[in-house]
Amino acid sequence: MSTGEVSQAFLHSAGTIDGLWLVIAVGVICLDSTGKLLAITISGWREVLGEKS
Amino acid sequence: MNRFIDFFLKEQQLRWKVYLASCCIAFGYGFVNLYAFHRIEERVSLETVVLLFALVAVFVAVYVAKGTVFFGETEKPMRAIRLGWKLAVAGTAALALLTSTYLIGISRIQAAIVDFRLKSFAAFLDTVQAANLSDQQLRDRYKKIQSVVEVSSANQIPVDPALLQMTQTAISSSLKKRSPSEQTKQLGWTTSIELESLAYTRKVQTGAIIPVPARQIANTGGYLINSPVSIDNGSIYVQGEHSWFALGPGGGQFVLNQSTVVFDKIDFLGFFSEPAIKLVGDRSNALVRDSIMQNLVQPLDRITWIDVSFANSRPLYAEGAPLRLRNVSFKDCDLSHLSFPWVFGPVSSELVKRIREANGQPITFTYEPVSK
Repeated sequence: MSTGEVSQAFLHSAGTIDGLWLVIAVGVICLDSTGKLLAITISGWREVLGEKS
Repeated sequence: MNRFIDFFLKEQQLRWKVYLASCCIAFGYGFVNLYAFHRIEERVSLETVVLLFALVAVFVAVYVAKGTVFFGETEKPMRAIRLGWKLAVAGTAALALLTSTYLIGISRIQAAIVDFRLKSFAAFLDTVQAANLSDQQLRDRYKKIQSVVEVSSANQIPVDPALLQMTQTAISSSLKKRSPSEQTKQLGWTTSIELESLAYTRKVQTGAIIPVPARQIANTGGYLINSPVSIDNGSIYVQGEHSWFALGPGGGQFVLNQSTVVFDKIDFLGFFSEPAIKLVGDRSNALVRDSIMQNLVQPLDRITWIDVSFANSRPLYAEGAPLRLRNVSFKDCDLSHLSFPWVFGPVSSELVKRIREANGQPITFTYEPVSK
């Protein structure tokens, strides 16, 4: 193997780790967005209903 | 409940700490399972996401219950967040959309969008306004339809086959009604071929067409056909997994008499005797998709060829007849007899030129005669 070349096994491992990080990152983004959406909705409705009562 | 709202809307630093800790633990779990226990990647990915969700949920629950998550942190005094009613309504709408997306299924929503777009494209092409479109504008419309079809095909979006056919008809009639440039014609007919191909795929997926397995046609010890297989007044879809039909020198060929036949992932191996597919009658049609044609003398006209590779064959073409090639390659083929009757007309000359220029790479070329 000459300089600058990498083995297929290394590339496969790198791809797997990348994939794992990607899954985690997408999971965090989805969680964060859903949590924020829920928080905004609950907070907004509480405020609206609180003001009316 | 206030703490839950605080966690997502105010405690930015804490939230990122929670995410970071959860990500590290989840990654550690995934890494160990992949490299120490050599488990399947898909399974580990799913478990990692579930673990991540569970960890975040636990951290949020701890924060809601205690006011802190990590040791050493002091509970902060609560401050009320004031959000308007507009945000409440928008949030509810977004949550309703998310829930409905989950319940209905993303693919069905995608299909509804694609169906709507195809319907509007088809309806527009039939209007008087469309008749006044410039060549460039018409080409843009075709490109949009082509991109919709390509995306639907690549992502297996369950598009309505009837709408695909409707759009194909609209394109055909829009091309026949006017005299667009050669470039626009090529793009239009290519789009039409792709619509036809996807319509067949969808019909098989929906069960509207029951595919005939290759072994049902040649069930006597393999796929050798040594005499003509005649299909009369029928419509069949022959599906294989690159199954090959060896067409013996005794006249092995498919004769389509007033029939429509689709050959999907079927390879043909001949002996330079009879054409693999012979169309008889004006109403006969054939579509060959994802196939390899080897050692054949095969007329190209009136048959739709999609993702087909001709190898060591002698293609023929009757000048002036419909020609539909989409991603078709010709390797080591004898083009000297391409034109019939042995005079090279404008279409066959152009075809030969394209094949030679492509040098074995796939070409897309269509010709539809103008009906008088």
